[in-house]
Amino acid sequence: MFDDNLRPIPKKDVDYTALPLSPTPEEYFLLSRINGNVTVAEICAISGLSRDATMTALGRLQTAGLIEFPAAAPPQQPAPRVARQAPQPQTRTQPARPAPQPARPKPAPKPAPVDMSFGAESAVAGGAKPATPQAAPQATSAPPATSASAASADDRFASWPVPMAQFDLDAELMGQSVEIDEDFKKELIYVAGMLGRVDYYQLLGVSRDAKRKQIRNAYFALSKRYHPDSFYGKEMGGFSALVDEIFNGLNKADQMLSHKKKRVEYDKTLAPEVSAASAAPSYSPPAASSTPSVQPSAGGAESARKREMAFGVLVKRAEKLEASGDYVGAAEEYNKAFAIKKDAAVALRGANLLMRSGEEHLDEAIAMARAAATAEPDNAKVYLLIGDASEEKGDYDTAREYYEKARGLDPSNKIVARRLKYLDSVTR
Amino acid sequence: MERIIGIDLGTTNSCVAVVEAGAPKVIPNKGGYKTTPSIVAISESGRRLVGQMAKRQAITNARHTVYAAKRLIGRGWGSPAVLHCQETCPYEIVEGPHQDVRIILREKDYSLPEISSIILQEMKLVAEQYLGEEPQKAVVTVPAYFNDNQRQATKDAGRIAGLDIVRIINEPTAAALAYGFGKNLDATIAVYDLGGGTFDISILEINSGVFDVLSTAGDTFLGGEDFDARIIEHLAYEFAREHRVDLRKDEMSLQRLKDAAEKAKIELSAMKDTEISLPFIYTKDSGEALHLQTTLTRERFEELVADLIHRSVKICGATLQEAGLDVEDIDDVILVGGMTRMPKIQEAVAGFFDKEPSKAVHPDEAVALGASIQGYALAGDTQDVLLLDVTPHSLGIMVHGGGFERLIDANTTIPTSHAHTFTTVRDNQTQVKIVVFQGENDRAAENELLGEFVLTGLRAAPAGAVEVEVKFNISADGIVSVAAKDLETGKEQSITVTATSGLTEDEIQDMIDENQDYLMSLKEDEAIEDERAKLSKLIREVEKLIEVNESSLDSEIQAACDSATIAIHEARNALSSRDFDQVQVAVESLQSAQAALSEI
Repeated sequence: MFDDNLRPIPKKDVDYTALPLSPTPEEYFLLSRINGNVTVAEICAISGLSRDATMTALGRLQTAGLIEFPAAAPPQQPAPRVARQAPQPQTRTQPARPAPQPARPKPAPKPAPVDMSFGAESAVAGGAKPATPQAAPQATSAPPATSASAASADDRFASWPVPMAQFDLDAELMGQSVEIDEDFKKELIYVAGMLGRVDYYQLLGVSRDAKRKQIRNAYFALSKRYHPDSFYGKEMGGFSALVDEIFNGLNKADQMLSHKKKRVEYDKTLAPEVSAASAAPSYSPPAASSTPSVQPSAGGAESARKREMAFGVLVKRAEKLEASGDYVGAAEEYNKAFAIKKDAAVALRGANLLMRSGEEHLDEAIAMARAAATAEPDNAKVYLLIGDASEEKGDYDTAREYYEKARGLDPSNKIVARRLKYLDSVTR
Repeated sequence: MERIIGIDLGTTNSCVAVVEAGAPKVIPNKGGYKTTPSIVAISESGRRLVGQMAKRQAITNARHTVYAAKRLIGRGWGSPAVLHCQETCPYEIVEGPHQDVRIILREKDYSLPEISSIILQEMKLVAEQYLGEEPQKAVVTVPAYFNDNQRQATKDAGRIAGLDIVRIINEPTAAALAYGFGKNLDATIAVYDLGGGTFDISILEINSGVFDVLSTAGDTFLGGEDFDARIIEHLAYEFAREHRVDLRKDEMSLQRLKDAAEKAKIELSAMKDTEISLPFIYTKDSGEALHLQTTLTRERFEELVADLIHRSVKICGATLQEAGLDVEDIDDVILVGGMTRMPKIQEAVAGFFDKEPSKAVHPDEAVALGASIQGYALAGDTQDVLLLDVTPHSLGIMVHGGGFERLIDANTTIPTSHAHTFTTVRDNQTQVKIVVFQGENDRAAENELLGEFVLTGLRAAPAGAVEVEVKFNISADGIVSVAAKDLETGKEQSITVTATSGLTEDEIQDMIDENQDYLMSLKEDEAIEDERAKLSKLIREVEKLIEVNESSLDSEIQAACDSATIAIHEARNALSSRDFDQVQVAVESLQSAQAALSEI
């Protein structure tokens, strides 16, 4: 066992071909994190191994003559609070905050390729740079976050409406074999999926009263983390689209918040901070737009949040079914989502899909559109759809009735006018 | 790890750099110079000449020597740049098949990307000789104010040259990279870049290795060549007043004037006045020879170009405003491009920014160094650098009545995308045509036409029922692409792109093949020359051996001498035939004759 405050130092000019014992890939990974600045406690926290296993590994590295320990731990550094006995693989590990460094650390010795996944931040704790391209797949999956406050995922995600642990991860994407580790895959899917549901402040992980400089710093740190160039030349599969989306979102957030006037305008559109589910308007998908009827009351914030979550999960499921071509299944999920939150947009979407699923579903489509009409009685599109479905069934009178209703709400709608004209031509 | 070189493909000079052991370094060419003139010529024998070689023969081969091709790249036929070139360039330009520009050299027409590819190839060669291996990938710089067509054409040039341009970055941004790389900066800087053909100004915020461009602007018609042109006009005017002869009408005189103007301009950066002496510049019909002999003072020169300098400073003001900053927010100003050596320009910049410009970067080398740093970062060798550049022009589409609807504003950080929904306007409409432009004018036609996109195969439905989402994408290279999706069905729509002033895929392929053929024949020529040199040497050696042994009475020696004489005769024939195989056979037979004679 080594003292928690010791800072092991990698030995220079080691002949890797003539080691007394050959270290395992895990040990090489540990070695790549050791730069003379990180403490034993920090190494334990970032290793991805248990504390005991980490200690054993350090012992073996020392025996192999790859690292050495200074005589005594510098007393001025208190034991970091981040030392955790055994990081759980499912939840994100709190990053080890690097101690202030007087100088750029020298590159770590050449690590062997490690076929293991480690927490994203672990790779950059202590600011060690990957010394060789072989180490890149692990290390560059999490570009160094220079501003600890902005890049600390835990802080950033704390205010997000759905915690990452409960987020419905796309199994197909997770299964793709790409050059990023499992934790970072999860993070990318989560962040991209939440883009429409968090406001720009939440996205950047800054408070609403943050100064411009704080916003800029957060933007820079997150850009380094998610910018497509940080993954240049890597096999990213479906994740490259996610990275693009995330960077696009960060970009918009920065443009809005770092511009004085735009920020004031944007702040006006935000709901009071208690309702965490309010979405950034410019890229909120239709399904996420909240209707006034479900604004959480002061007391029911927690249940509102749960409802919002369930709604989100159902919509996501529906979208997936829709993309796979299962329109009826998708409509069913939209229907369930609508039961949780009376959002006319989802009902209308479901009705639309049913419309395209053959004659036998026309009645269901009409029923769903009617339900949408109860949530949003003045939406012309809803009546247009009922009219359309009725027309398809050959029920021209009902069709005309609804088309006219739609025209009453939206007199300039050209489609409605055309449909009515068409009805005139066939019925007379 | 694969090395990615950085190339500054300049209007008048080009430069190549690479990062070695973490430090960017400019690679000198064979002549030991760090920059290579961006000049391409075709010699009478059809051989391509590049750089210093091309520059040296420019006066005698003016019609087949291309200067400043960068001013024409990506430009449409009939555009102001092309009209200007038609008036002033000695080489012949004609309209290409896509309203693009072709240059006729030795009765063969070359597209602009081809001309640029010849320069890129030369820079690649410079790097190859230094690195000892052929570089496959490069980051190439372009003026920040280049539009999509110009960027695309530059990328095409890379393909023709067999060089994968992995990223196009903006010149001032590259210079900022060279300035800030390896330093832990937190600063806002302005980059004033006045090169041979273009002017750019960029305002950047540098913070913990992120280089964030706040705004950029420029003028692609403002550069050192315009300064030269003012001197040429001045000299030609003075000469015409005295002799009633317009020197600009005579190709060779104009070329000499051009050289003298450039030389004078450079000298005036260091001296107060300069002598211009061009003896026998013109011969009258009467046979009388005229000479140009005059002195140009720095003061007079500054008067001649005062408006050009003023124009650049005005753009600085607009860019600063666009970034939402004041002069005092700028921590440092860096100067890039050879023109910034002119004292009056340094004075004007210092005056505007109220600050002495930094001397931290080399005005000719910073851009290539920056490109190599970006290449280094993309290769994954450093995580300390991230470039966040912007698009210099607004991107939009033509709407009803010829108006221009902006979809992505100028100075938006790239890569970026914008989705726009189009609906059908007629029943059963199966196609939607979208015309994309880049520029700031409210009338679409006044902006740069990028292309026409036709969404085809839409499903038949009543008007307005089909909604197609078109996603406009600007890549990190600043290059525009478009993808479309039917919103109802989620089906991706096919897009047909009509090239405007660019080249079609087939044409590019043909040019790649042609370039390969040229290189192959060049290699063959070299191989033949080598072999011929070997043969000539052998002939001399064997002749000496015959001379020594001729007088011998030994019949064996006599026989060897006779057959050697025959071999020499055949070798002479082979030498004049220039056929590789024949030369090789002659070499072999002569070698055995030599062996036979030396054994005796």
